[in-house]
Amino acid sequence: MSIRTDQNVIHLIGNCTVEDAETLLLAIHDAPLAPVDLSAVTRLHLAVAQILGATRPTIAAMPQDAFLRDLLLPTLLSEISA
Amino acid sequence: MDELLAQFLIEGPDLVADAHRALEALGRDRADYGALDALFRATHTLKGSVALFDMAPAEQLLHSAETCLESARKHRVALEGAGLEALIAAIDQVDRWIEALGSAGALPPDAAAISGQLIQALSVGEGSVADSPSPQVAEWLAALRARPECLALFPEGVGTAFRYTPDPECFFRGDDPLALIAAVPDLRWLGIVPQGGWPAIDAIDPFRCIVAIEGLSGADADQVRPAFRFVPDQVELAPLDNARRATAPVAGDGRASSLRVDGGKLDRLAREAGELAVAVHSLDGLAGRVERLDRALGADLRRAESAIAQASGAIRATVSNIRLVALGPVLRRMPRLARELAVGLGKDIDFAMTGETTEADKLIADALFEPLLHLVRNAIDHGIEPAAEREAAGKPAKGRVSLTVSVAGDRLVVTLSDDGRGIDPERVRASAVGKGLLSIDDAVALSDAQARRLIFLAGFSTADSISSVSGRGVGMDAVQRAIERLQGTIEVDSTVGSGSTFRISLPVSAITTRLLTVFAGEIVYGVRLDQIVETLRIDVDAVHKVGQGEACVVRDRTIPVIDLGSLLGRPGERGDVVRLIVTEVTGEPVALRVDALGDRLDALVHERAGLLASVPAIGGTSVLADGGVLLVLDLPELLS
Repeated sequence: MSIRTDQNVIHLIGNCTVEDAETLLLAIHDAPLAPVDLSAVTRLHLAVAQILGATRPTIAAMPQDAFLRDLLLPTLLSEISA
Repeated sequence: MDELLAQFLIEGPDLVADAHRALEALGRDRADYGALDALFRATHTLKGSVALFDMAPAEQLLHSAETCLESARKHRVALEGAGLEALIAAIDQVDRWIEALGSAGALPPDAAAISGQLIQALSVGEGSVADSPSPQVAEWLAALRARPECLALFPEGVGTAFRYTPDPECFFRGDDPLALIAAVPDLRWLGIVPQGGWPAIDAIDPFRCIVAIEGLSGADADQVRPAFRFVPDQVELAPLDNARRATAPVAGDGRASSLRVDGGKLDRLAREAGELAVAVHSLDGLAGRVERLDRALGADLRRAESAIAQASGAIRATVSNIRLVALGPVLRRMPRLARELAVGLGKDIDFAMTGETTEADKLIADALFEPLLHLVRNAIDHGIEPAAEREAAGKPAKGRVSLTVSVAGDRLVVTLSDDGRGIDPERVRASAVGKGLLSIDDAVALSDAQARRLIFLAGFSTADSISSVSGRGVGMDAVQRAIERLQGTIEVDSTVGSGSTFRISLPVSAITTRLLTVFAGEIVYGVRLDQIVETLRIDVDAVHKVGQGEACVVRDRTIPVIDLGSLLGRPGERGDVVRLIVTEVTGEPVALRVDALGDRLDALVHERAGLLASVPAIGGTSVLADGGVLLVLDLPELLS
């Protein structure tokens, strides 16, 4: 289990696979205003990334991984995705 | 002049040149959005600049051009031919107005009317803006290339753009598109594009892939492709070549670190560097004398001398390098003038120019324009046939004139070619004989190549009627003289029916001319050594009155003697000794009487300009090391 909601913060942990997408979607559905903590994420499957892109939650903390932090998440969470 | 205006008169033409470069790129590829952006920027900046001066018609015109460009830019649609031509006409017109502002201080009275016409042409052009982007450039690629990140991350313009559209069902097959993306080498930018927009939270199907992934990599397409080896059908790759074109105008930012220096100061520096070399040379003799007295001291002095000589050589090389300027600013008016000339002559031409970034000494660059313009004029007027004649000969109706500038070794090579009727050696021979320039026998004896060179003779013109454009009192002889003054050569090659090529070869770096200074009527003049056959010192009694003038006998030959001072309106004193410089006028020796002979020196000689331009006897000017100006006489012109 790589997704856990704890004290109204959604934590994504380790390698988030395609199966985690539905879990994340449900978690956000249940707590639409909950910030998402990505600090412990090492990999994100595109299915999970899509959920973040579509729902655009508040991000509490960014991951360490350079690809995720510098390339993927800025574009995914910005307003300008055409 | 108002400092602001002076600045504008320098920068305005630069902006026009930027705009022209972009227009040229758009002429080649209408969907070059980088060029479109560059054109927009140049137009926008120009509009802001002209607003500072009394140039309302220019401001309105540029505003219209900007609106037209803005719309093409926003919708990412290619400009149609009509729109492009209207833009070229608008920028050309603004260029003319900047010139007028510089020379006359105001726009001509018809400016408002012309502005109105051009604005109308622009709005027609805008209406015909194409609805769909050019098929060669996919929409995603064009949009990607235009992103600010694309320019910022790829200043060198090399790289690969990709768009990966995973199959919507790919998650079921176990694909992880982001894992593929993470393996792309030198990935610099990523974009996630939801297909059809992001869905509302209730409409999300977490098992379907709903996005496309775009990215920019600094690696070649060949290096990027392996990352997508399992999904080749879902990926499009394209080189980022467009970014290079787009960044070229932006490279102007580098100008911030450069400094504008008055050309006169540079000339002085060059001259001083030259004098330093001469001064260093004098150490050589000194070292020799010291060596005879004290060997060791002499050797030390020689070592010091050689170090100074080396440093002085390096300074001269650097100075001559600083003097190198790109030919672009000098040649930038050429395409416009060529278009105007063609319109004036009722001819339709394509004018292409390449190599204008080539650098040459400032003196050469400045002096090249006039003779080159004459050649262009000549090519359009005499070379390019009327459209009907061209079509009858099986050629495209539109004539082609191309100007190429390149460097070969230490020579600047300027080639002007046209695809017109060519130069018929038979006609040239007949015409030259008809004008009494040479005898029939001599004409027949010439090879075809030699016959073609007859066009450079003074008083020659191949067209039976001199048109208002080509016949402005300067012939090809003037072109040849101008090129020779720059120590260059001009050759002509031509094939009857298919066109002519003029090839000019000039030195790339600073040319110094050997001068002799002479005194006449208390003024010092420079005379080119290559125009002097010999200098003489004779007794005053050896000069005889002959009719109205004077003459002397040199080696059994009578030579006319002319007083240089009187010729220049300042008769000198008459002593017991007469000093003469002997020159040749059309092959005959003529002696010029001077008051005294001065130094020999190597100097940069400037073409005469400004007020002096109307004084034919003055071949140019040279700046002396003390800042004084030396007038350099052109003896053949003075005596003709």
